[in-house]
Amino acid sequence: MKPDKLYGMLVRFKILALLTVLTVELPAIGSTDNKDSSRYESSVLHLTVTRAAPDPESPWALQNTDISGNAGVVISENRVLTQASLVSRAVYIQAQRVDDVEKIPMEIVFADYEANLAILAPVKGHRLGNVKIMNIGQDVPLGADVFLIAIENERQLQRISLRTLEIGLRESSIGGISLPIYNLGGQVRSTCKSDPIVRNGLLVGLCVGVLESQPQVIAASVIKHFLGDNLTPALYRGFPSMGVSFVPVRSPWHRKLLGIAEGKGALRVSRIFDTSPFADCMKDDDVLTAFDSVAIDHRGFYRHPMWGPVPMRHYIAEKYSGSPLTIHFKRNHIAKECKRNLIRFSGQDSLVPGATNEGGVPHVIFGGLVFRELSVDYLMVFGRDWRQASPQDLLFFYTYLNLPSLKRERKLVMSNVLGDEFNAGYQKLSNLVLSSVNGLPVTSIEGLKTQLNLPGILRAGVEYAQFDFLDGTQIVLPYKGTSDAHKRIGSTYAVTNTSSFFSRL
Amino acid sequence: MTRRVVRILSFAVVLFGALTSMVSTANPLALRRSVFRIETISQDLNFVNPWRLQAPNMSSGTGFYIGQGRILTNAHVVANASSITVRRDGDAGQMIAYVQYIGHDVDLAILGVEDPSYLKGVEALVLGSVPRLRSPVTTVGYPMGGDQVSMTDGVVNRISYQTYVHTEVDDHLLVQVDSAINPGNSGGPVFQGRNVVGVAFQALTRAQNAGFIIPVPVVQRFLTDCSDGKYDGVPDWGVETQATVLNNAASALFYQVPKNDHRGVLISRVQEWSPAKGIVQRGDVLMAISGKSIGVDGKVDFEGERVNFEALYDLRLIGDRVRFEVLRDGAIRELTVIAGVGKAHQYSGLIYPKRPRFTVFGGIVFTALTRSVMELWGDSWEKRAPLLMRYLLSNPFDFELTGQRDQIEELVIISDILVNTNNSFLEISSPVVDKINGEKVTSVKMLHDALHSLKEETLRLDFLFSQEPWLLNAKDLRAADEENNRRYGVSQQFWLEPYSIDGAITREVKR
Repeated sequence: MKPDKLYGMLVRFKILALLTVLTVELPAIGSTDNKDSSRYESSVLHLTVTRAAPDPESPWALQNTDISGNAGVVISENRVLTQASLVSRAVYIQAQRVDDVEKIPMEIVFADYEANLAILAPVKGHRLGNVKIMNIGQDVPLGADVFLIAIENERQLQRISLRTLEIGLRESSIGGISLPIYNLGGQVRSTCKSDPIVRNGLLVGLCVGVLESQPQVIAASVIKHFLGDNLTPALYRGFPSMGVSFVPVRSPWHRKLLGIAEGKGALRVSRIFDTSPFADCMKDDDVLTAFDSVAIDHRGFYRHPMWGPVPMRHYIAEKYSGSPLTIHFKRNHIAKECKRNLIRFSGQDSLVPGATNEGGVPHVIFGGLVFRELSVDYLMVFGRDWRQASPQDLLFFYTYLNLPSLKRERKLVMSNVLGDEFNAGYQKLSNLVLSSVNGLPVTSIEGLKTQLNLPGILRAGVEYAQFDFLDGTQIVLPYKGTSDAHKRIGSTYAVTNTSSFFSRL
Repeated sequence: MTRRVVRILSFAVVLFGALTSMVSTANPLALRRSVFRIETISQDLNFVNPWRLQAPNMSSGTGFYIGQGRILTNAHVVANASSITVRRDGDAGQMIAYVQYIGHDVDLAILGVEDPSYLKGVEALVLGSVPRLRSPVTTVGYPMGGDQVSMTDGVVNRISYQTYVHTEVDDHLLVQVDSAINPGNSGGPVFQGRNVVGVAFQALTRAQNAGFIIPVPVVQRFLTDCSDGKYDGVPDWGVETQATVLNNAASALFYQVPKNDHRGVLISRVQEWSPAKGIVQRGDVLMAISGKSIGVDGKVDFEGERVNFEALYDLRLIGDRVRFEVLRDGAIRELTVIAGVGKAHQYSGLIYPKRPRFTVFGGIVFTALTRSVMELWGDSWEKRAPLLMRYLLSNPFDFELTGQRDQIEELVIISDILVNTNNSFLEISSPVVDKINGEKVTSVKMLHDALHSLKEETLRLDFLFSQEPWLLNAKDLRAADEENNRRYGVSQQFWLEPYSIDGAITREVKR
C-alpha cells in the first residue's frame, strides 16, 4: 500500500482526548518470540489484497494496482475478520496460512468503514481448510499484558509482548461515532496491518495503526458490537450518534448562569445538527446532566466499570443505532428529559464527505472542464499535508462549513481543464468552487448533469452553458461542438470511459 | 488595482547598491556626493503584547538628494525608526534626519534634515524616464561590506507589474535589473547617464543578480501626491478581472465583442466599497483605460513595453477621473471612475502604525487582525496560522462564506490571555471575536467602547465559527485589571488611533 493511501485511511479518524493515562511501566521492551506464536498459525491468516482505487487526480481512471499483505483472523467457520480500510476497493483477495502454500480466494461479506472492520469469506466453491477459530475475549484493563501477533515475511508469525497504556476515543469526521481505541506500550514495526491482539488465547483487539510509536488498537467491545450486528447492508444497525455537539463549561460564571451546581458535572449543548433525533426537543445552551441514569462529571466523562473516567460519547457508542437514549438536561434551570432512538451517521452525510471506499469518483467533463464533488478524497490530492496545502476555499468548506445533511448536498469543484481548442482562454483555471450553472445552484454531480440538460443561455442564436464560481470567475462555453471536443479530449487525455463526458439526453 | 493577496515567498526585502568601476553612459561617480548613507535605529512592533516594542535594531540603507531639502529613500529603510541619521560619502560627520512623508504602499519616503545648511551645495539629482529593455544602468548606494559608496553596472531585463514586498500586497510597476542589489542598497538611485531612472528596493534571493527598482513614474507620482503636504496613497479600485477569456472565440461571441476586436478582459467581481461600484459591473468587458486599449491578456502598451493595465490606474492620484471603455450588451460605453483609496489594504498588508490597535480587558488582549499579526507564526504562516485567520485575510470581503458584513471596519482577534484567576479557564477555540453581548464587533474601538460601557453583569463574547461563547463576570474582570497590569507590565491599556496610509501617525521620527 502506498504510504499516502495508508495515511489517508488513518486520518479519517482523529484521536480524541486520550485520557486516563496510567503511570504504567512499559513492559521489558517488546520481547519477541516465535515459539508460542505457532499456536496461532491456524487462526491468523495472511491476506494478499490487490486493490485498484480510482485516481483522485484523473477520476475517470484507476490508479496502478497495488498489492498489500495484512492479517486476518478466523472468527467463525469460513469467516475472517480484518481491517476494513485495508480491503477497501479490493479487486482480488487471497488468504493463506503462513505455513501453507494454498491460497484461498476471498471476498468481502460486509464492511463498516466507520468502525474500520470487515468480514471476509471464501469465494463460492472454496473453503478455508485446516483453520481454527479464535474466540473474541473481553476488553482488557489498563496495564494488562497482551500480545500482538505479527506476520513476518508472509511466512512466519511473531509474538510481541505489549501492555495497554491508555484508552482513548477516535471520532469520525462529523462528530458521529466515537469508538474506544487502546494505545499500547512496547515496540512494534512502524505500522500495523490488522494484526490481532491476543490475551489468554482470545482476540482482544485489532491493531490498525501506529501513532507516535504507539500501536493503536480497536477494542474487543467494538469487535463484538460489530459482529453482534446483522451484517447485511439493509439490516445493519451500526454504531450510533446523537447528532449533538456538546462542550464542558469551564467558566465559573457561565456555570452559575446555566445553573450548574458547584462540583456537579454538565455539558453545554453547542450545536444540534438538523439530522439529530433530538433536534425537536433540545436546543443550544441546554445543559446535559445525565444520559439514561448515568451521571456526567465536570469534564463530560462517566465512570466506565473497567477503564474509569471515559468521555460520555463512549457510552453512546456501546449502543446500536435505533436504541433508545434518554437525555437529562436543564433549560433555564428547569430539569427536563428527552428520549429518542439513536441514528447512524455516515461520513458520507457531510457536505465534504470523508474518504470513500467503494464505487467510483463522481465527476463529469463538459468541454474539457472537469467537475467533481469536493471531498476528502479530492483534498488528499494535495499531498500528505493537504490540511495546510489545499486551496483555502476548499479547506474552508471542509473545516468550517462541513455539516451533515441527510440530503447529502455537495459542493462542486472544477478541478482542472483538459486543454483543447474548445476551451481556449480558460485552460489555466483550476480548483474553483462552483456557485451556479445557467444561474441556478447545483449540489451534486447528478444535479449538474440535470441542470446542463435544461435549456442553456441563448446569445446571438447560440446556446451556451454558463458556469459561475465562488471567486467571481465565469466560464461560458457553447453546447454546440462539445461532442467533437469530447472526442478529441477523450483521445488526447485517454479518457476512455465515455460516461465521464456530459452528453445531452 | 486588484489587491488580492499576492506573496512572492522567494523575495527578500533588500536594497543595496553595487559597485563597479565601469559606468554606463555617463559618470555617476561625480554624483556620489548626492547619495547618502542612512543609518536607522528602529524598534519593530509587538503584535501579541502591543504595548511593548521589540528590541532596538540598527540597519542602514541609501537615499539621494532630490532638492528642496529632501532626501528620497525607501519606506522600509526608515520604517518604525526611532532615530535616523544621514551621511554623505567622504564626510566624517552625520546629520540627524526625520521623515517628512512616507508611503508604505509604494515603499518610498522623503526625509528632511535637522540642519538644512547640511545640504547646501549638494546637487539635486534629476529624475529621468523609464529605461528601455537591455539598456545599461548603474546602481549607486551603500551596500554591506564597507562604508564607502559603491556602484555596480547592469542592464534592464524586464518591466513588469509585481508585488512590492514591504507590505506584501501592493502591486505596482517595477523594473528588473541584473546589477547587484544587496542589503544597504535600498533607497539608492539607479542611474542612466546623469539621470535617475529608479530607486533600488528589493531583490530575488534565490536568483543571482535579480534586483528590482522602483521606476520613475511611481516615484514621480509619490512626489506629486506629497506636494500638497499630505500623502494620500495609491488608489485602489476594488475590481477583479479575468484575462484571456476572449481568446475563446465562442466566449467573445457570447460577450458580444465585435469581430476583429481583439481587446478586453472580463470584469469578474466589483467590491462593495469600490469607487467603480455602480459604474462598472460583473460581466462587463473592459476594453480600454485612459484611452489605451487593454489586450485580452489584460496588458496595455506602456513606454514601449506591455504591462498590466492596472499599472495605469495606480499612477493616478486620489480624486483623479479615470476614463474606461466598457463593452456592455454589445455597446461600447465611456465611463469615468473617481480614483479612491482602497479599503482592503489596511489589514491585508503588513502595517507600520505607531502601535497596533488594541485593548486589554481582564487580561484578555484584543487586537486587529492584520497581516503583521500573522507573522507570529513565522515566515510560513500561510500554512501554519489558523485557517480562519488566513482565509479572512485573503478574502476580507467574502461575506458569503464568512457571514461578515461590509460595515465591519476590521476584524478583532484575541492575541493573548494574561492569565489570572478570572480568566485561567479560558481556551481559545476560535480567535476571531464575532459579537459582544449580541452586538456585532466592527472594530477594536467599538469593542473597547462596549467593554467599558457594559451595564450588564455578564460579558458574553461570541466567536466566528465557534459554538463556544465565553460568558464571564464583567465586574471581576474589570477589578483584575490593575493587578494584572502590574504583574504583566502592561504600560498601556489600549491604543485606538486609526491607521493611515500616509504614516501620519506612524512611529518614524518626525519633526
